[in-house]
Amino acid sequence: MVLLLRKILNTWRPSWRQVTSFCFAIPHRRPHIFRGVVTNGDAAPEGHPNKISSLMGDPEEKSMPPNLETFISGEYLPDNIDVYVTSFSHKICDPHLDSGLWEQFIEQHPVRFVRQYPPRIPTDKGTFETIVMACSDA
Amino acid sequence: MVSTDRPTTGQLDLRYSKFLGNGNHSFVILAPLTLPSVVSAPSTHGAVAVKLAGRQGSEREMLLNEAKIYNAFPRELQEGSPQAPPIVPKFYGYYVPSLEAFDSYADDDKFRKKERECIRTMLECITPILLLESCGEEIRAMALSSTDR
Repeated sequence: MVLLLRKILNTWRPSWRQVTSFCFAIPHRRPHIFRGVVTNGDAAPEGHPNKISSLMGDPEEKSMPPNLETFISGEYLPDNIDVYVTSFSHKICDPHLDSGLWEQFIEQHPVRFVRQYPPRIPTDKGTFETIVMACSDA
Repeated sequence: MVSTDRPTTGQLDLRYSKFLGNGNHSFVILAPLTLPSVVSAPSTHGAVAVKLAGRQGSEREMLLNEAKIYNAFPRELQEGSPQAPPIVPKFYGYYVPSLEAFDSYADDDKFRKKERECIRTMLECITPILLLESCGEEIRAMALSSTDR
């Protein structure tokens, strides 16, 4: 019986419709912003990451710059990064929170992130030092 | 070791981002990053890959672990040399939401105390971000000849 079951599992190939239904079967395995949504290439529904660019802003309004390819040593990376987001972005954390309040907040402020790696070490003078690995200075 | 008098601040604009891909525990978008000018270099602007973790603690642990690994890579692996191309994407840092920054300007806002607490809760659950060089299309080994592999 076990051998028969193993043979069936080894030879079974799911159809497209069966594959998309997996999104519902294992929702915790996918980012929750498209939990419960059938994903299918260009036909991605609202809320799917393929739609993120249109939800975050009109790509036509501001073109994407060329990729950053310069090596930047850790001590020259910014200590903080101000992240500009839209109301959609709060869904990255929790859709049950008050989105109206979040929208009000991000209209007034970017979300500030602080660098954790490469690590910043506070000094006695109230400044910070960045430790760069010795081998990266070679 | 380099000492700085005051913290420097860059800008990452997720309002104009592009979806790059997702895995079981994270997803990646492309977004413009502006690095501040420093004494030795002017301000730099370019698109970087932004990796975001899922909501679960284990997923964030994975992203943190990845950041530690990238941080440990020597410069040669990221930059390459005349003899050898780069081996890994360039690492532009791992950043976590700053509650201290929020607390510092929250008093100036029109939000009531209860609302501030709610916003703070939202900030606490935002995923950290891992910034990397975007290296273009994924290599599909099956499409390569045995020599190219």
